[in-house]
Amino acid sequence: MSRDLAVRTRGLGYRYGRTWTVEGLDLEVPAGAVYGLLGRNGAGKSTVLRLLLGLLRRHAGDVEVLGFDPRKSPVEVKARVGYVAETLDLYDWMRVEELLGFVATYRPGWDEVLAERLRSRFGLAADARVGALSKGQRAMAALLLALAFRPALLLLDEPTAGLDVTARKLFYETVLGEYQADGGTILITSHQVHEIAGLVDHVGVLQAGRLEISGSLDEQQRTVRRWRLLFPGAAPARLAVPGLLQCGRTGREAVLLVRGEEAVVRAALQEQRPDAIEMEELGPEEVLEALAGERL
Amino acid sequence: MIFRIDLASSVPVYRQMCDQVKHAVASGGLGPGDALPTIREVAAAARVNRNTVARAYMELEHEGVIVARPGQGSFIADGAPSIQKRERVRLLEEMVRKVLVEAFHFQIPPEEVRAIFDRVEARLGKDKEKDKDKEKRP
Repeated sequence: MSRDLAVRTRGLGYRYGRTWTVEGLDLEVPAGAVYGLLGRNGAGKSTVLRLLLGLLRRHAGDVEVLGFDPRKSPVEVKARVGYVAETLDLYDWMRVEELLGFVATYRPGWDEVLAERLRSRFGLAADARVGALSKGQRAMAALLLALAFRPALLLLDEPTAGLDVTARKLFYETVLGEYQADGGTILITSHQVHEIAGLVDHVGVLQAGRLEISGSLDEQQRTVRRWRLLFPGAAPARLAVPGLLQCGRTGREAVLLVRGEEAVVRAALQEQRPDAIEMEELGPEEVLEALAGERL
Repeated sequence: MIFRIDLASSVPVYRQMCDQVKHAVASGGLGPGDALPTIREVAAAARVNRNTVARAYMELEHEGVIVARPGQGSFIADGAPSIQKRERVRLLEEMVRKVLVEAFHFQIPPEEVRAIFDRVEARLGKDKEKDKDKEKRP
């Protein structure tokens, strides 16, 4: 496998009962990248992350995570990958210091100094019961456990769901300052597109278990634009344009989010015979929202 | 140096960072030898990808605005003030461009924009004279 890829899947498939929830997935996450995996609820984002980690067994295709196949080498993969998910199973009956001590025993590469620094920065009292931590503190504890063994890859599955603004801020500050700045690779799923817009440099969009769009954010920003069309009469109900992501109409005006080369899109739009065409460039936030199907 | 990143802007994030450093140099907020925060610090504080910050710093170094001293960090270059003039002109050009785009949308032709420019300048001149008169009065 290419040494430049932290994650590489070919034709990855997983079925739940008779339904394929992930199908024909070719995912490539470059080493050192922050890859945002977008998609609606049920698109298969969490399943993909669990397949990479080997928490689920795939039914089709090939997977390489840091050069290892999670099915053949589950221990090697888990020893190198940090994982933070919305649904966390921590040991509620332990105290914080016991939890850290326990995880340290089975985690090669555990950095005690880093763990202690993060514990104090996150305001996690050493003698606090894990079960008594707030939702925000639990998320920070999970992040601590995922970072302190210095993994080569970090999988973040809706890591800040249900957290308040301050906790989210602290979470991402830590991920970027303590982890990514050292060259780590991140694969993240989030509904909060606006909060990961500054982080991600690569993006993939899952739709019904398939990767519809994938590439660098720069590339997406070059090709995804907002177009305003003004028609002589009411804007047509259906606008068939290749690469159309979203479309909305009010009276004579139609607003479209389209992915494609400027000249090609403009030519296609001209065929709709509007009076005027106006093009707008988008910022990273809007590009991600457009790809995620969230905004017009 | 605190970066303010606008993720809704179509201006790439690394470019926003470059512009802000140049702006600070042009306005005298940062001078030769002043230290910039480390890539790690900026990434955490602004919550942006380290590669983006690294790209901004690389660009600034390439343009001679900053120098990287291994093991010490990045500093405003000695020659940076000489780019001040160039940078001021560029910033102005950017503003004029925005005005012309607005004028286009308002359907005001460039000749009329020039007339407006002269009119506003004349008015500014008058205001200045008035201010001087005020200062003269006890």
